[in-house]
Amino acid sequence: MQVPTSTLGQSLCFSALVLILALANSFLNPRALDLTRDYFPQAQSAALTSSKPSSSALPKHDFGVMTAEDILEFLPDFKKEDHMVICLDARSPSHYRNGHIPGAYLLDHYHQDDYLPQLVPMLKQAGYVIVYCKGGDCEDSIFLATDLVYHQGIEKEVVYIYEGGFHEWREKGLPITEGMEP
Amino acid sequence: MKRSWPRLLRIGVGAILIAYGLEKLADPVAFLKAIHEYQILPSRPPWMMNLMPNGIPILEIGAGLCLITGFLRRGASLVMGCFLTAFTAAILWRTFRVMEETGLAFQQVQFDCGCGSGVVVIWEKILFNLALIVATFYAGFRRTTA
Repeated sequence: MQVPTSTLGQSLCFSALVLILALANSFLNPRALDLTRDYFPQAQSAALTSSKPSSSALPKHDFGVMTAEDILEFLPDFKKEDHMVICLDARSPSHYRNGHIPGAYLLDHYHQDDYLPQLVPMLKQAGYVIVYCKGGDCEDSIFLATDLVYHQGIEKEVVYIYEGGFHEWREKGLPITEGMEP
Repeated sequence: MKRSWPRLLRIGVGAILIAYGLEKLADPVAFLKAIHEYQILPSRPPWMMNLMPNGIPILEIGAGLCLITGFLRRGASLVMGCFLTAFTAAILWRTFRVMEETGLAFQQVQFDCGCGSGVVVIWEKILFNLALIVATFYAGFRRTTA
């Protein structure tokens, strides 16, 4: 095969090579993102457009909100066998390993398929599902909650966002568990 | 020395591009979030945005390798230079949006531009990118003995 000598020919050849390798990366690399998945889902509820007051830097959402104090009250329930209260950590495994709310399950929003099969049966029975991520302007908890409600069939009324997130939890000096176990 | 500096420039630009590509390849989620912040690409259909974190690192690594080895050098330089120009324009566009939203002066604006170096001072990043664009075109089109 001859290498093109013109700049245009080389550009086309290079672009085609990059496209092929990019598609190969998309389909073969387990760390690559799923081309078909919407990672930034918008809630389909009309209530989302209402002017709900929010003290956080997060965009408006129509889920219930829990504070650190609310979660502290629920903390003993997280590890109960009946799974009436479930806490989900939407961050990455490395963040989770470095510290998470005791009893919280890892459900990395960007790699949900790795965790959902085990968690969905529990989530469908839960009375409260509390979702958090880093806090601040991190929106992953909202995206995960939206996916749970609109794609996994979890009832919206049971899903709550802890807007302060792990950053606030740590700042307040509340209990933390390290490692991959809830 | 005088004769070898164009080759050194090619290796230097190539190494920078490869480093940027590897950093993005290692954390595609961070890059996806950064791209989402620009609000330029539509989130539907999802593949339009999702292909970026999977493809741009390949583009950068590929262009870097081509500049270093000389294979498809001019083509890689042209494509990479055009991409860098478009990306720098997007950074500038987002900077103006941040200025409008926050009231900050141009030289005060900082954000994670998705360039692989975390939160950066934007005017410095734009200057660096302009230098990188010139260097990319120059390294690709300058006649060398290699």
